[in-house]
Amino acid sequence: MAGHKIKLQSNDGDIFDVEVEIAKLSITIKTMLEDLSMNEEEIIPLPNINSAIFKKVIQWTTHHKDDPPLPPEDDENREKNTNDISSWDQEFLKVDQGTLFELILAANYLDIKGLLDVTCTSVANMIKGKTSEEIRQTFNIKNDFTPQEEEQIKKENEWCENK
Amino acid sequence: MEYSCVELNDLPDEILLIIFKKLDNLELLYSFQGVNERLKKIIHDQTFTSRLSFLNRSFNKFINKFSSNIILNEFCLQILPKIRTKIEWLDLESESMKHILDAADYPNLYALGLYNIEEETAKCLFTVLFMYLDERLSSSMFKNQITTLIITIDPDKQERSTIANICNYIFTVFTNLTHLTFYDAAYMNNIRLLFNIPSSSFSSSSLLVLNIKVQTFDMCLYLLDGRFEQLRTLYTELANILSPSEIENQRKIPNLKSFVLSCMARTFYYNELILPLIYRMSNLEELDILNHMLQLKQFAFDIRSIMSIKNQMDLPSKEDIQQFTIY
Repeated sequence: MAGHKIKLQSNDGDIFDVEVEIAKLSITIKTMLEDLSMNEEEIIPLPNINSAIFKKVIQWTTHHKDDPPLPPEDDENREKNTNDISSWDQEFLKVDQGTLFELILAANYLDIKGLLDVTCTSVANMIKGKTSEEIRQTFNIKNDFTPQEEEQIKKENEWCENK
Repeated sequence: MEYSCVELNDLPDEILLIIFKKLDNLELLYSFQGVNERLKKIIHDQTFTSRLSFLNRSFNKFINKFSSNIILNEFCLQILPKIRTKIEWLDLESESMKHILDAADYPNLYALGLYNIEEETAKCLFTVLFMYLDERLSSSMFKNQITTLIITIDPDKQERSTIANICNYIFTVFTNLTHLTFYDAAYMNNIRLLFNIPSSSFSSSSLLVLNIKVQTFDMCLYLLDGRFEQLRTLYTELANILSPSEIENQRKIPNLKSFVLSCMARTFYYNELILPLIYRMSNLEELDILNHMLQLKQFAFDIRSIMSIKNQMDLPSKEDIQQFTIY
């Protein structure tokens, strides 16, 4: 029923009134409501999501509530065009890296395929064209290769560059 | 919003796999090869290493993915030797294929896509290089392990005999070939099989699937004269079907299960040429129009109307087409 709302609670205690149709874009919440026959007055806890991230999730699902469902992914013919992010989503995803990764985790937990897809696409675009060293710097990844392995990699790199 | 400290390396493997699947395998291997142990392990997964394509498609031809030799060298010296056992399929452009094939031995490689091939490259590649690789590896496995081959011929260096000659090299060298596809980057580059009389080496006892463009209907008859005795599937596109052939051939083609024949040009010889050929395919399962084919499971057709604007239009109506399909 349009306009009908349910209550969802983030892990830091905030309660959100969300339209059922929008909340059901999350397969996790849809399953809770339909299969587990949860009472509509009950507050549904979302233990893995804080209120700041959940606000972003609601903002995204509200904007995309009328989108057609995404086609199932085909591993054999997977499309690698990673530039196709709509301008609204590009604006929406202008956030710090930590927020972007938390949005990915939230989309995965809530099972919102469209949001998971666009956030992962955004990260893939950040990766494109970078060398290993640039990847480490961009994503603050510590090099855990042993000094011997590292020396070997350096030697191989020098050899390649001199060829 | 509070600053969040989740980082890329904190994401679970299942999410990293989703992100990495959005990237080209080679770009992924290049970017993450030396980052850290965990990410290296993920990118070495079969998903990202079983098929590697070293080319991009421009509007009408294939070009090398990496313009820089430094990156190609890095692949050949560092990356390919480490994942060589996982590689099953390589798509290579003519300029870099020797370098890549020589970079490691690939014990599980069964498919090769060779793009922008010209006759001389093919001769050299199929005979000299593979002989050398076999010797170096002290076995004759390399050429025997290839069962699938995709060939794109350089459109700037083609002659009428090109495909026939390349086929001769292929069938001589790849003795276990089961799938052979000739592919063009653009319709304008279509390169078709044409010869007067096929040579004796133009044959294979292992080939199951052939996808090839031919010039005339005679070429089609040659392909089905028993030289590919195991052939199960033939996709062929003809330039024209002009006149009844002088090739006598009544031999049955019992192994052929799927036959796709297309020709953009109009023919007046359907009954004289195409029907007798189809009658020979006694076990056809896909694409047929004869009702005695009891094993027929699928009938695909494509009806097109060509409109010449004159004073009167006489196009088949939707009802006409429905009526046709009922019969």
